[in-house]
Amino acid sequence: MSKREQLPDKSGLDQLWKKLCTGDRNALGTLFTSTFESLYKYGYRIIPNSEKVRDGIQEVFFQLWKYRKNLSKPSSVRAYLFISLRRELLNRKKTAQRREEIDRQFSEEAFDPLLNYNKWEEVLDLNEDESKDLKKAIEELTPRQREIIYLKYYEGMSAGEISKILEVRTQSIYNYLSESVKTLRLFLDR
Amino acid sequence: MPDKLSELLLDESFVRFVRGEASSEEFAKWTAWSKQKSEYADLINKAENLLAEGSQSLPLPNTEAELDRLMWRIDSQSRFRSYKEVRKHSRIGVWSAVAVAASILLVVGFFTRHTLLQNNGTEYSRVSSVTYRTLNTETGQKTSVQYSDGSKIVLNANSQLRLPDKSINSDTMEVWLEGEALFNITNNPDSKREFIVHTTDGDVSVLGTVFSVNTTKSRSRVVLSEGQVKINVSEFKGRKGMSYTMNPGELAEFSNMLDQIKVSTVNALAYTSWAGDTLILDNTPLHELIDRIEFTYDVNVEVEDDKLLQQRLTGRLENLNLDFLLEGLAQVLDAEVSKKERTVFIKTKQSDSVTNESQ
Repeated sequence: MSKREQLPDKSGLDQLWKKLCTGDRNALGTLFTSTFESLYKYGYRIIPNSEKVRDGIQEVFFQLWKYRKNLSKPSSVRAYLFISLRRELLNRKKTAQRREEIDRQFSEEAFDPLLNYNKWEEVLDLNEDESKDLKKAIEELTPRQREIIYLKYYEGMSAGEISKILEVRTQSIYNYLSESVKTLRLFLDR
Repeated sequence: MPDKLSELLLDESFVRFVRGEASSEEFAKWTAWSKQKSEYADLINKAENLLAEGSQSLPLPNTEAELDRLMWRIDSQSRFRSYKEVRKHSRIGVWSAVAVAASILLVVGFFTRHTLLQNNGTEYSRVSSVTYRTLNTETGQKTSVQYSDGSKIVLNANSQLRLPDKSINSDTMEVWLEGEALFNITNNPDSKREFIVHTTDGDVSVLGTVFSVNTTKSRSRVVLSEGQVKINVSEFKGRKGMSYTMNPGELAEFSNMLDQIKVSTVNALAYTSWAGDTLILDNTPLHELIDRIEFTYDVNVEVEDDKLLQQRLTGRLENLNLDFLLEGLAQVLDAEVSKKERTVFIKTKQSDSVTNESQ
């Protein structure tokens, strides 16, 4: 539990946003340092390439600063940053694909939640075969379902925030989530 | 209330509680619930474990260095913009602010440069209004700088580069390097700009080219991919000054301590590929690769068998992070590669012997 970085709460982020929009560089810096790690961890799951993710984050904040005067306050600053990074990375992925014709397996919305299966095995007391089955079950979820699981359980986002990031209705988030958990019920409720 | 993990995980209030983000009412509610049955406390414990550690932790880049990079980009952009605005609106207030900022930077730049140049004994009297900045990279980190004329510099891990914050089109553009960097310098036929990389061992001067420079405590090494560069080692303790003009595909090593510049022919890609995500090996001795791994990721590499050390490797290794790289290395070498804290062990594969995991 101690490993989770201290993210300012919603009102803290809102405050930083306001200051940033009036041209406060320190606010930009604080917003950057306090959200960098969680953005990086998320971005790396979209493109497992440190340099591309770092560049993506740079671009998000650079644009934010550049257009600060014309920005309206989003309902969730955190979701706003995640959306921007997601778009930025998916765009980069698309251009890279066009240029280099990388494997088709990297479909536009691939998302690897990078779960720590050893931990799951230990906590849920699974044997080796069961652990393999769990891994398979998670791989068989759609990329969108895997992304929702990550945002919900490892970023602690609300269904409302996730719905903005993935651009689907909030109700669909609940549906996706309950379907995924249903698939994993076998392993969770032993 | 639900009493199965799968149902609990769909309860937003429960998830907030387990993540330590619950309101005080929620907290009281779930605490009371957990006291009803030992199974409930057990479920909370499981959920806490899964949420706190069920996802892999990643090696994280240095946030401060990333912030520096952002601020630098913003600064160079805003300087440029404010000049434009000044011309448009001729706002005198802004103009004088810019002028003051520029002269302060000039003084700083001049002093630092002066001391640096004293170090390697070159004489310089020209003063220009160039502002400099120093980039530092951490273990496992790379960073790149792109100038408006298309020139690009990639700085490898554990390196330091002092460079002007925008490209200089005429005269001389100078940088100071400790560590390793790849330079892709655009050659503008209209300007006679000279680009110079200073190292403690000597200078590399360029007219538009792609080359990689790597310095260690004892020597500097240049590998040239395209174009032409000239190496100058100035007079030192009775040894005469030396210079050499390199051709593409050559590797040159020089040092203050050596009395000649050593030149050999190599596959340049094998020395410049670190700037991308894939390391290219072309008959590369393992010890050279190990030097690179130690330099980039700040680890010690221990090789059990000297025979392994003499092996030469050809192929490609993904160089996204240390773990990726070691995994690939184990395959290419067909050896056992393991890591314990900051030491990497490379061992010959034990054929069909039982590993101690079966214990």
